Amino acid sequence: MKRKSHERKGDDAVRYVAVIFGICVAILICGRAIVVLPQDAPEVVTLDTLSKRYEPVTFPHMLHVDVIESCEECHHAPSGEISACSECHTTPLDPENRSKLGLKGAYHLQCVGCHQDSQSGPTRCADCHQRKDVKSIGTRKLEAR
Amino acid sequence: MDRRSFLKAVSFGIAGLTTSPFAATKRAHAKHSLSDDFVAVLVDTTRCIGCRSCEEACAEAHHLPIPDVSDDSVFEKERQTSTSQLTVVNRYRTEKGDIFVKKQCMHCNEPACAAACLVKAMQKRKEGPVTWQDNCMGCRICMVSCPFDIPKFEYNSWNPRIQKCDFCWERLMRGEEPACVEACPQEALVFGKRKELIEEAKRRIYQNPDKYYHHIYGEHEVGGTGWLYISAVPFEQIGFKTDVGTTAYPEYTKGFLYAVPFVLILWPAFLTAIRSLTKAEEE
Repeated sequence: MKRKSHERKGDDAVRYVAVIFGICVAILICGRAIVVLPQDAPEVVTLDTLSKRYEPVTFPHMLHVDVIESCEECHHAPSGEISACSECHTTPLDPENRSKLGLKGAYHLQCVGCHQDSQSGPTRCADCHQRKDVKSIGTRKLEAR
Repeated sequence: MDRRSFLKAVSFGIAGLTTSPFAATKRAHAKHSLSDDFVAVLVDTTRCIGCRSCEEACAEAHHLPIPDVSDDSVFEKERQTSTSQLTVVNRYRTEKGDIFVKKQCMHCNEPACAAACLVKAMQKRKEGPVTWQDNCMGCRICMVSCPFDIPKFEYNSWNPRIQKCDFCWERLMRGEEPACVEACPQEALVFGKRKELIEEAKRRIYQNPDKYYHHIYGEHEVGGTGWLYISAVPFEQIGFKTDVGTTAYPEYTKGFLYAVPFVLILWPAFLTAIRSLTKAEEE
C-alpha cells in the first residue's frame, strides 16, 4: 500500500479525468441530481481525531472513489446524504446506544473489515499509521514511578 | 440446671445449626442481585484483529515493560498472563479462520481467590473489579483457587506481589475506562454495566445468528464473570475452559465454612449442658 502512494502521482491525472468523465456520463444517463460530485470529494483525508499511539492516517480518498462502486458503501448514512463518519459516530461510543459504533470502531471496522473481505489493502496497524515513539512514553512513566 | 433450661439450650442449638445454611444462601442471593450493577467488558472475538494494542496499553497503565506489538512471532504458541503481562492475546486457528482472544482476569461475580484469601488482600469491590492489596502475606492460595489460572506471583522479587488484571481500578476511580478498552481500535472491547453488556451481546447474536456461536461465555460460568465473550466458534476451540460449571466456586465451601463456628460454639455448649445436667442428678 505504501508502494502505491509513491507510484500513484504519475497516473493520478489520468485516473482523475477518467473518474470525472465517468461521472458526467452517469449524470447524463441517469438524469438524477447527485448531491456530492466525486470531483468535489477530497483527494486525501487526514484522519487525526484519535491518535495516541499512532500518527494520523493519510487516507487516499480518491483511490477508494476509484475502486469502490458506490459512495454509499462507506458513507452509509440513512438519510442518503454524504457526510463525514464523525457526524454520526461519536467519540467515545454512546453508552446509551451501543449498537452504533463509536468513531474509532467505525473507522477501523470499515477499513480493516473491507480490506479483509476483499483481501486487498492494509490490515496491520503500521501499514496505515506511522507509529509514535511509544517506548519513550513508557520510559517516562517508569521514571515517574 | 433444671430440665427446662437444658431443653432450651438444646433447642437453641438445633435452631442455630439448621438456620445457618439458610443464612449462607441468603447472602449468596444478595451478591447475585448486586451483579447487575457490576462493571464489565464485552469482548467480541469476531472483531479482534490481534493488534495487541490492549497489551501495550495495559503495560503502560500498570508501569510494566512495553511489549513489542509488531512482533507476530508471539502468536506461534499459546501464552499465559505473567507478572509483567497482565493481559495477552492468543491466536487460535479454527475452521472460521484465525481468531484472536484476549486473556486476563475474568473478574468473577463471586471470586474464588477473594473467598480463599485469609487476609482479604484479594477483594471483590462493590463496583465489580477484583483487586489485590499489599497486605498480602504471600500464601498464594488465590493462585490455586482461581478457575482460570490468572493470579501470578513475583517469585523473583524481594518483596513479591500477586500480579493480575485489576480492571484498571485506578482509572475506574478517575472515571476512565480500562486502558485496554480505550486502546482497542476495533471496539472489540466494550466497557459498561454487566447487565447492559449481556443485553448488547444477546442483541448481536440475535441479529447475526449465523455469525456467532449462540453462547455468552461468562454469563453463567463459575456463577458469572465480569468479562463476557462472544465468538464465532464454540469456546473450547479458542482456549476457554468449558468444564468450569455454573456454580460460583465459593459456593462449594460456603455451607461447610458457615457451619464451622456454629459447631465450635454449640457442640461444647451441648456437652457442657449434658454434663451439668447429669451432675445435678448425681447430687
